[in-house]
Amino acid sequence: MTDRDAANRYDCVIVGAGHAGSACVGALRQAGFAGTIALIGDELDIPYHRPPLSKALLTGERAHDDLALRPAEFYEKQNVTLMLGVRVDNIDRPAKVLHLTDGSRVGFGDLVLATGSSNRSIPVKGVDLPGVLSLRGMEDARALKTALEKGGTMIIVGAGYIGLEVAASARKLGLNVVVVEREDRVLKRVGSVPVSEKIQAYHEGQGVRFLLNAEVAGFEGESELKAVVLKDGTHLAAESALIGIGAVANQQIAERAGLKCGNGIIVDDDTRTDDPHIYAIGDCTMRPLAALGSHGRLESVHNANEQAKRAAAAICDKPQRPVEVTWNWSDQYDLRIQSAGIAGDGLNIVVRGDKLPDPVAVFRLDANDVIIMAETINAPAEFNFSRDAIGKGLKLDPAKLRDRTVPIRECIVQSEQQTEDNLCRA
Amino acid sequence: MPRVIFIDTDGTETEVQADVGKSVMEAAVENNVPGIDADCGGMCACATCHIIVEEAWFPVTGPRTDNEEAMLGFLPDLNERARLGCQIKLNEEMDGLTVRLPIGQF
Repeated sequence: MTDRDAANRYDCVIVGAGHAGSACVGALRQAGFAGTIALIGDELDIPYHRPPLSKALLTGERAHDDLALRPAEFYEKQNVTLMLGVRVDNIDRPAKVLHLTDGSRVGFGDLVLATGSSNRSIPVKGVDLPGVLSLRGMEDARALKTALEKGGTMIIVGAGYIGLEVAASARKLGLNVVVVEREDRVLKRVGSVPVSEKIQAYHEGQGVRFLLNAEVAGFEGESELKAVVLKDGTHLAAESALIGIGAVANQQIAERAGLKCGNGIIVDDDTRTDDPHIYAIGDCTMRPLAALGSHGRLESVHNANEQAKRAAAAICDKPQRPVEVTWNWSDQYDLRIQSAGIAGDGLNIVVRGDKLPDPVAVFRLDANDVIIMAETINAPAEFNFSRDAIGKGLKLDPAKLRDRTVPIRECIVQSEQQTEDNLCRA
Repeated sequence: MPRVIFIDTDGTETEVQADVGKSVMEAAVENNVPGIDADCGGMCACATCHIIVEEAWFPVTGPRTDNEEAMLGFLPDLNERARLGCQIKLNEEMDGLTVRLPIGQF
């Protein structure tokens, strides 16, 4: 770098100002990082809460100004330079310099990539028509809110969390809602069969129509969306459509810089990439998943926060905390849906509770009845218990779990080993 | 503006100020107080803003609600004055509110 650029060098640069990037600022300072920090983001808003974009922001219960993750003064107090509305085009690894799309350059000591993910699209005719929407950032949410205000029928393509959350918000606002899903059940990628069935039934009770095993062939309209056409020829008249079929990691700048990538930027438990001075955190990473014995992507607020802390600890050479049990939540109508842990195949499913909105919990136990994962609906006690129990590898009694009259803490099987562990801990 | 004092497990005290109407959790997050993870951002979806109210202040904050009880009830040795920071909204009466952090958020 020349002298002219020297002022534009920071000891740590974070690329991406979402949950992960913002959390990393706080975590670095908490870990004692005394150097200069810059946080670069391509949106103009200071980092904001994304979960309300599909819910409270759409229904008007929360306003745009109310969504900042941390107030603007936070970044001043933490002595962080915010660079908003700019994108990184290239990483020059040998020179440790970022090239921004506005032509400027920013030098770094350590680099944290928190670039997030982008929505998948459907390569069909009409997907670019006005009225065909997706949801990721604030701009998307504004467009979606405008579409919801128009009313009429909204077709939701994809019955994942985003699709179902928007379906619930749209019903609250009185729209006619049809969900089109390629798979044979809702939430197939993330949920168990009992959870899928109960949530679908609840949505149906709220007036949502589901078309499963159905694929979109195209979107019709001259200047704006008029109808969604399915591969079996079904023609669904609609004022708007939302595509919510998952997201892909924003790993282009990492790939161009020759960093190892798969389905995401590959990192270790310290969130380090294969370059010792470059870290990656949040949605954009493919991280170790001990429960599966492989690497994978976790798109959640908890993952963003956890990896932010781990990156900060690694950069500051502080000891790492044990890897946390991952968790997620979704709000739909009066349902609070939560999951803890990650499950592979071949586990036993135990259901506690029956009809929503009463509490329901679905546990997945291994062959030794050790809890691996839990999905809960309106069951905070079961959720928090499970997250703790998964971390401790507790063995549970399936018969007691099925019986809602048995308090959740009494479902633990006290093995000799567990008793010993507890004594040691005490 | 009410002041809130956080006492870490090693005895370190951090004093912050926050507007009336903000929660104890928000006061911690806005001032980057270590030991409050606040993963869900105040949606009462996690229990990572767990704090223990000092005895002198307990009559002012009051005990935990049923929902907080459900969230924290899994802890085998739950303190009687344990609360979720996101559920305590600051008022003028709480100027000087002192809370302790647990050994770890889970």
